Amino acid sequence: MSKEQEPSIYETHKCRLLRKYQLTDLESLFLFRFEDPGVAQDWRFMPGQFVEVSLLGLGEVPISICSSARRVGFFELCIRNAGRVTSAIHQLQPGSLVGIRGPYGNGFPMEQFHGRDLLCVAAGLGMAPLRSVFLYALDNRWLFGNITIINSAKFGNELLFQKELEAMKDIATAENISIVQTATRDPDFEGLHGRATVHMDKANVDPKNCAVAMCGPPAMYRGMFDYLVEKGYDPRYIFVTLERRMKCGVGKCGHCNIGTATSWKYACKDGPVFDYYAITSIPGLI
Amino acid sequence: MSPPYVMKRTDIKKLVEAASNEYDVFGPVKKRSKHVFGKIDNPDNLVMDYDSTILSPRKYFQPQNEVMMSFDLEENKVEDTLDELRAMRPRLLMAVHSCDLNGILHLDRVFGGEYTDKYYFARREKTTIVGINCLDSCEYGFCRSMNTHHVVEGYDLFLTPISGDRYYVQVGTAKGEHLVHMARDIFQEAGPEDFGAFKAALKHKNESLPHEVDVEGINEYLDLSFHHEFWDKMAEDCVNCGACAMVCPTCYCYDVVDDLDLSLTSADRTRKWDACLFQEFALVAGGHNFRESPAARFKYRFYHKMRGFAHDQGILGCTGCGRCTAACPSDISIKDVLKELSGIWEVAPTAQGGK
Repeated sequence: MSKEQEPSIYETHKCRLLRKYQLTDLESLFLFRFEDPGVAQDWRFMPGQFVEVSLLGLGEVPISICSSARRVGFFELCIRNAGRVTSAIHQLQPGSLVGIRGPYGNGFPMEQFHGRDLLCVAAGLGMAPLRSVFLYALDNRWLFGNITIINSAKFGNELLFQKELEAMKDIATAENISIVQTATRDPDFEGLHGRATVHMDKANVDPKNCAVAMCGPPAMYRGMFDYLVEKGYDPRYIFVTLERRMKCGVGKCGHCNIGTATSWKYACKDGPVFDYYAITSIPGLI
Repeated sequence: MSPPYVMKRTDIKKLVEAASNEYDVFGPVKKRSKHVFGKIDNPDNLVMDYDSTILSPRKYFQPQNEVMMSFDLEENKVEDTLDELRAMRPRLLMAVHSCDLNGILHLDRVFGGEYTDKYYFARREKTTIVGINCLDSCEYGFCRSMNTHHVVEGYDLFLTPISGDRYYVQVGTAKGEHLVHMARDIFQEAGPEDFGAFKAALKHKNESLPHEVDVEGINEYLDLSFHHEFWDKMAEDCVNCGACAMVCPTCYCYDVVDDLDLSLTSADRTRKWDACLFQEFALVAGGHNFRESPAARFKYRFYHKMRGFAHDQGILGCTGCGRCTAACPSDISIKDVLKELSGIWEVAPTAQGGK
C-alpha cells in the first residue's frame, strides 16, 4: 500500500459489544469483539495501554484496557459513567457497534518484570489497568515470584472487581498470591479499612526483587513513593500510570502534554506509564 | 540542482496568472490596516512586500475547522474526507516569510513521525510554496534572535529582492522547478553579476536585522526559573484569551468535536484549533484540572514553546514572528518575557524543584 492510500490515523475498527456487566453504581465492564476477522487475529495490546472508543456523533474517549492480553480478538473495558460519551456507552445494549482505535501508549514494561515478585497497588478506577497487569501475571504465573494486589476505594461498594478478586482467594494462598481489599472511608465495610498505604505490610513480596505497578490519584503516589523507597524497593522497577485528557492518542493534539522544565512528555505516547524517576524529576507530573 | 534565476518584480503578476490555470493561488492581501493570507483571484491584490499577517499560513495546512469524517448514523457508515482532500486542486502559496517557512517545518515534524497525520500531509503535498526573504525588520518580529531569518528548506521557490527591482530566485524542489516552467519566459538564469546583487542583498539583511534577544542557554535558565515568582507576576496581565496561540505559526493543539446534524441522522467529526490557555484544556473526566490556575497555563505555554519543542525536536518552538505580541490585548511581549527571563537567571537562580 502506498503512502497515498494509507488510512487516516483516526480511522477506527468496528467492535461489537457482547456483554455489559455492572461492577458498581458508576462503573460497568464491557466486553467487545472485533468485527473484522483479520483485525481480530492481529490486534495485540500490553497491560497499561488504552484505546480510543468512538461513538458516531458523540465523540471519542480514552479508556484503559482491563482484560487479559492473551484473549485474541476480544478485550474488556471498565468504564465509569462520567461524561457525555461514557454515559452514552453505558446506554449501549449488547450487539451494538462502537469504533475502536489503538492500542496506544507504552503500557507497563511487563518483560522487565519477569523473574520478579509483583506488587500492584490500585485506588478507585486505578484497578482497571492494573487488572490487566494482574491477569498477565496469572497468565504467565511461572514468570513471576510472589504476587500481591492491593485494591482500595473510598467505599466497599466502589471496589472494582471486588467479587472477582474475592473468589480467587481460595486458590491464592497456595499460589503465593496475596489479595488485599480495603475501603478508606467506609466504617460499614466488612473487610479492611484505611488507605492502601496502611496495608503495605501485607505485601508478601521481597522489596529488593519486586516490580511495582500503581494506578491511583497523584496524592497516593506521593505517599507511596516515600514508603517504597524507605522500605528498599528498587526505584528502577516502580511504575505508575497517569490520567490525562488523551484526546487524539497519537501525540498530536497537545491535551495530554505534560512536563515543564527538564523533560517533556505526551501522556498518550510517552506514557501513560511512567517510572519513578520520571514522576519524581518532572514537576507537574503528579 | 536547478540553477538560480532572476526575474522582474513586476512579473510576479504574470507568474500568478500563469499558475492560476493549475493552482488556487493564496498570498498576502491587504485587510484594513493589516495584511492577511487570502485567496488571490486578482493578481493585483497580491502584496509581496508586507510587514506581517494576522494569522500565520498554518491555516492552509491545519485549518481552524476541519471535518475529518462524516457519519451516516442510520447506516452506521463512516466517510473519511481524506480522499476528497487528496483530490483537491493544487495550491500555490505566495510570499511566505522565513519565520513562517520555519514554522511550517515545525508543523511537519509535529504531524509527521510514528503516527503521520494524513490530513495535514495531503494539504502539504498539494501546496507549492514561494518564500520571500525579508531584508528589513518588521514591527514585532525578532527572527534573528531565534535564528529563523534564513531557510535552507521548506520552500519550493525562494525569492530575494535584489537591485534593479528584481528577485533572485532559488529553486528548492521539483515543484518549484515546475512552477518556473509554467512561466519560463519571465525567468532568466542568474549570471555572476546577479549573484553579486544577491550577496549585496544578504549583506544588507545582515546589517539591518537586529539581534535583540539572547536565547543562548535558554534551556538552562528555563529549568532553573520554573518556580520563580516571575511567572506569577507575568501571568497577572494574561487574560487567557488564547489569541497568542491562534496567531502562532507553531501552535498546533486541537480539539476533536462531533457535530450532530439537526435531523440526528448525520454528524461530522471536526477538529478545531484549541489553546492551552483555555481553562478546560487539561481537564480530565471526574473534574480534575491539571492546570487550574491562569498562571499555570500561561507558564505552560511558554515552557512548551521554549522547552518542550526543544525536547521533542531539538529546536525552539518560537520562530520570532512576533504575532503573539501583536495580538495580545494585555500587551505581553514575548521579547520582554525572554529578556526578563535571561535576567533573573543572573540575579536569583532558584534550584530546580526548589520550591
